[in-house]
Amino acid sequence: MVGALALLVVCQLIGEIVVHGLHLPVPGPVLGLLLLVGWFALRGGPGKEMAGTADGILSNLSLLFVPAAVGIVQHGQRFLTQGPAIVLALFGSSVLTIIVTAYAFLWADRRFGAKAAGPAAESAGHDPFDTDTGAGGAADKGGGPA
Amino acid sequence: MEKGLGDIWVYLSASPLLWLGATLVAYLAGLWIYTRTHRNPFANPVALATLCLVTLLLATDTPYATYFNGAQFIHFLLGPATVALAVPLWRHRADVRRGALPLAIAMLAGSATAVVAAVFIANTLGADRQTVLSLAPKSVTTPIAMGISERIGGIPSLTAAMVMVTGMLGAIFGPLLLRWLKIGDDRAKGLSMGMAAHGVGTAISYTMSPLAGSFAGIAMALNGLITALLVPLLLTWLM
Repeated sequence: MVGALALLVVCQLIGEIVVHGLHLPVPGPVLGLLLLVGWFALRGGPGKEMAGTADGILSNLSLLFVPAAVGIVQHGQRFLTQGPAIVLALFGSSVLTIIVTAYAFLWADRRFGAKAAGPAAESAGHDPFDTDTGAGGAADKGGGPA
Repeated sequence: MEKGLGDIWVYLSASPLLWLGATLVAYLAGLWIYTRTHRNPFANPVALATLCLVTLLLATDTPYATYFNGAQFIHFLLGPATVALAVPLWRHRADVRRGALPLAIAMLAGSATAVVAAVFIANTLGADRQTVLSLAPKSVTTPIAMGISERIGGIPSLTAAMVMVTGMLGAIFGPLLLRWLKIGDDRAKGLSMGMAAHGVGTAISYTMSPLAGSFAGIAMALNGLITALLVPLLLTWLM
């Protein structure tokens, strides 16, 4: 648990240092994510400890957004005066983004995707980690993600 | 009695404990209602917890800075949680490698759609310039969105609020929309949720399936990059 947390924080820290040092347009944690994937590639995958810690954090991901969401309280005035424009823009944009992304992927996958019968089933076959953290693991827990 | 309570309030309101505790309890209450309503998207726990906490802050006249002093410990975990997305990404590396080109095409299309649609609708409905600029990066995860907003002349904290509203709208309407469109491919589901609703969409996608969650995580991580590069280009054309 502590070892895995340390690895996560160190990856983020290196990510932040590199991003700020080189003025990259990427956020530090995203670079940290890539670093950790690289680490897994070197080590042949996440250990049991890291897998458990990551699943624990990610199955409660929703909670982590609450503090930022409450920040809306600072912009009450603007939401009161321009509320309809803002909400309609957010709503319309979200709906269109979902439709365009989903259909663009389905189209491109048929057009350019590697021909594979069942991508999900096949990867589960490759990957021993899939089985012990299947949908049931995340969804059945009371503290599962929202 | 009255004075005693007042003293306790003065003590508690100055310590991070109160709002840290309130955030955890509000979220647990939201989660309880969410599971009790059979995961009704309208009972999204983030939305419920936010509503409850905003009401509390307004009722007690507490500034956001005081609230955040306590809640920052939870907020801080967003960074390590983003790094932890490496684990599901690693598990699904075969799917990702196989779908690299379709992924890239879908993400470019989705990112451009999010920015253009938001800016166009807000402009048409008469939102002011600062609001429109703050809206442009709203589909991206909070820290990146705030950075983009600052660079293009928006208000970063307003962008953060819009990012959260976007996340909640995506969490509420995304699953309904995907069901209505009869999209069955978990990769397409996760990808579109992550593109439209960043981390909140990713959290929802994990409840659909780990594969959907991984694709949502990829979409969220890369959408930040793509949008950071696309927004300045699109804005010169749109504004």
